[in-house]
Amino acid sequence: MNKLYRHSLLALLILALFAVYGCSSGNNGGGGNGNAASGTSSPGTSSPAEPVSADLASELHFPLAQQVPTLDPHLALNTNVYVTMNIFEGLFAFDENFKPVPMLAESYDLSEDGKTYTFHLRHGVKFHNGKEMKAEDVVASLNRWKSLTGRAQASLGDSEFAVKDDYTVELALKEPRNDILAQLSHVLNNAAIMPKEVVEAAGPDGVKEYIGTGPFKFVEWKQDQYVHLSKFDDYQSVDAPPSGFSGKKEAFLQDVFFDIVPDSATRFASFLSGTYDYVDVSLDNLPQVQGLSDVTLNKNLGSDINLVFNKKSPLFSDVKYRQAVAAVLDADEILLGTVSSPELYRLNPSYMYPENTTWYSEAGKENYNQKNPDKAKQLLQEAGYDGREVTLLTTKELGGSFYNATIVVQKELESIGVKTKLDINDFATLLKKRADPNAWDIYVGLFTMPSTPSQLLYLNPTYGFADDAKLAELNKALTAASSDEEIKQANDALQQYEWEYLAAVKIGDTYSQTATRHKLTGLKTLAGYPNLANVKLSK
Amino acid sequence: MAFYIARRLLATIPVLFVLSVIVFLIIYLIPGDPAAVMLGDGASPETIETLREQMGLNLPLLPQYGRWIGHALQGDLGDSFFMRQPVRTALAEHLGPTLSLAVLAELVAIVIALPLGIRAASRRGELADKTLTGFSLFGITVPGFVLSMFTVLLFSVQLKWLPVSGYKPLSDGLWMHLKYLILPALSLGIVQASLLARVTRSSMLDVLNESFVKTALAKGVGERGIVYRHALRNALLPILTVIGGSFGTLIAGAAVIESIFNIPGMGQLLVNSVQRRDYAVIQGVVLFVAFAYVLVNLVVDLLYAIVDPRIRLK
Repeated sequence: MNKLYRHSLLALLILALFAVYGCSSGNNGGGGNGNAASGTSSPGTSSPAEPVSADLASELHFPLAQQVPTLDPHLALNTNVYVTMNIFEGLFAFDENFKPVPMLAESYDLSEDGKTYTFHLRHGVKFHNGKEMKAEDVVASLNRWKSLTGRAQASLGDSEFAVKDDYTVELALKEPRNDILAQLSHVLNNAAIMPKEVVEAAGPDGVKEYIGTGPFKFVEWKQDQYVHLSKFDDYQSVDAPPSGFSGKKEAFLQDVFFDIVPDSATRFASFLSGTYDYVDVSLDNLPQVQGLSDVTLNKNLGSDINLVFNKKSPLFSDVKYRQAVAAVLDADEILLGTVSSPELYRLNPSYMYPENTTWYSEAGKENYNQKNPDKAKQLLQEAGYDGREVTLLTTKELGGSFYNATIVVQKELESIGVKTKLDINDFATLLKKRADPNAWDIYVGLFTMPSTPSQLLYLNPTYGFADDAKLAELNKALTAASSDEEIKQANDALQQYEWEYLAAVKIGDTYSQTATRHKLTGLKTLAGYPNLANVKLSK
Repeated sequence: MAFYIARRLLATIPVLFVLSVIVFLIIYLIPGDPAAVMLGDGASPETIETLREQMGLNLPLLPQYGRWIGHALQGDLGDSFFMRQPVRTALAEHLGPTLSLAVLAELVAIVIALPLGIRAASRRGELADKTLTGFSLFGITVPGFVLSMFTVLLFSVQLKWLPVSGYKPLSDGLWMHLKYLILPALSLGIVQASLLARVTRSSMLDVLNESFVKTALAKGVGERGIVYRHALRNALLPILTVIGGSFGTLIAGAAVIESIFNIPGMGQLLVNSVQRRDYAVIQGVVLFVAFAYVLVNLVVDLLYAIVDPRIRLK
């Protein structure tokens, strides 16, 4: 081979490499725009950043700790809610005490018998595509929401929403239910209102366009990188003080980017370097922000920890075994093992938060946090425990808190002679196994703010397989209660019985810590989810 | 030569086929359900079932594989469940960042390793040699993620010279593009450099002990001439192999570094897809990486012939 030939070959190779690279990056421009939901709109569509006021920044970057699997609000899970709650709204929204407050509904009437809800819609509310929101949109959205959401099906049964006139929607139930408004307000699988056309075009994997009524509209979703929203100029705010996700919403930011940054050290370093003005703070990082003069630390009520029994497993189908576990548990030890600081948890014998004044109950609290190994051993003996292995289902994902809580529980169970096995999975596997009655015995998990007892997943037959006539009956009585007095009575009765039946054992409530720079003001959070509507960011 | 290249490329087909079967089986043997991941805790079992049906997950394994390979042969690697785009597009989008990072990291590695290795070999036992031993020990023992934490603390948090994480495409400007890649490339490059420097040193030493070097010395060739003209050229083959191997590894995606610096490359794509059981993407990434490996090796083999004219490719 002569020299010239060899050199030109080398040059060709390099050229070919570049060509491959060039073609591949060229491809995505054409291929990515196939459907609107992939969110790869061209850069030209985002409006030029215009500051709302001279002292205010127009762009906010907000870090998200986990990937966003879908932006369909009816499917939204823990991680998507950060984004979707700023794009979409429902008929009602929770205020900071988890009380449902009208949002897209102007008001509602409840018939004498408590069975028929009539929702009066606000007039002149525009969707992000310019269309006015009417009853047909609400009905299409809510009926789809019901078909996708387990807790909605449990509450509504066969009943569907129906159009009465352009601005009136009716829901006729078979039995009186007092949890309808709370179901419509809950942030997970949010009962968001979208245009009828969008709902009808949706496939089982979600809507294809993200059009809501909220103060921010969807611009672009760059998979695994960021979601870009911008201010919706035609937003019609309600006139009430902002609280939780309810009340007045006025967007001061032109552009909001939810940056997906799964690594917690990276998120925190980015906060320190000034990229973000808001960040979650782990205990290890706490000393680094405590000394900063321009940063406020906030403690937010995050989730509660519950130990859920598989009521179809060989051992825990017997209530004696469930009682034995409840007897030995030391809530302080488990909570401390999970969050590592006494500042970040509180004991709570109720399945609901004390802040939730309607549903908080201390009935049955004598069975909470018993720390009584002797009683537990005796119960095991009575039940005839033969050394059978108990499988604890858990995951090291989600920040490790599920795992941390589970290993403390494991230690406590072993202290009374129960043989245990940890079954550690990634989250996808855990979801699959948890639905299988033969795959596990005990699952310790963190749960996002229940707002009514009917939203407690583990009282549901599909989650831990609770199958008990009395529990179902008490649940029914609870949701049918109408006056405050009746509610209190039914609620106490349910919690009292739940502490005897033990579908799950409540361990306690945990807090998460976040840091906010002083230049970021007006941020409201509910169970850790941000409402960016009234946020101002000074330059 | 063209025949050689064609033959090598054809030889990858059975490799890719066997790999696709293995990956397909492994994926379907791990428990976990993409439909459940997508729909989450609150979803009703019927909803999950409907989605499974739509995704084609209820088909038996063989028809599923048959359907996939049928499309793959026509160049269609399927669609991602989660990203709602063809796998091909997803691969193309994630290749850019990985390729940029790999090239830059390899450059860092070469710039550090070659001079250090050459110097150490020609000054055996002296300070330069000891520096290399120290450096490569450091590079091999300190994991890339620890190194990256320190560089971030220093250059981003303290000095605020470079961004902590993220990625900007080349279309945003060269400096913008590089700014986000310097720290990850440094973290990756230093680790690769320590290996490369050791290989350079030992390969150079081998050559320097050969008799033609003594002949050259006797002829009165200067040290520079011996080291760079005679020895380096002959020592280059093992060095090239190591560079090729490390470049292949880098193209496969440095999952850890990519997730620390939040670079949307192949490694991150693979990790995310495994977490959400996005079967088509996992399959696509693995096949692509295998193909890229073969390609890189082929390029290295072609380079052998250029570096050493005594090698004839058949």
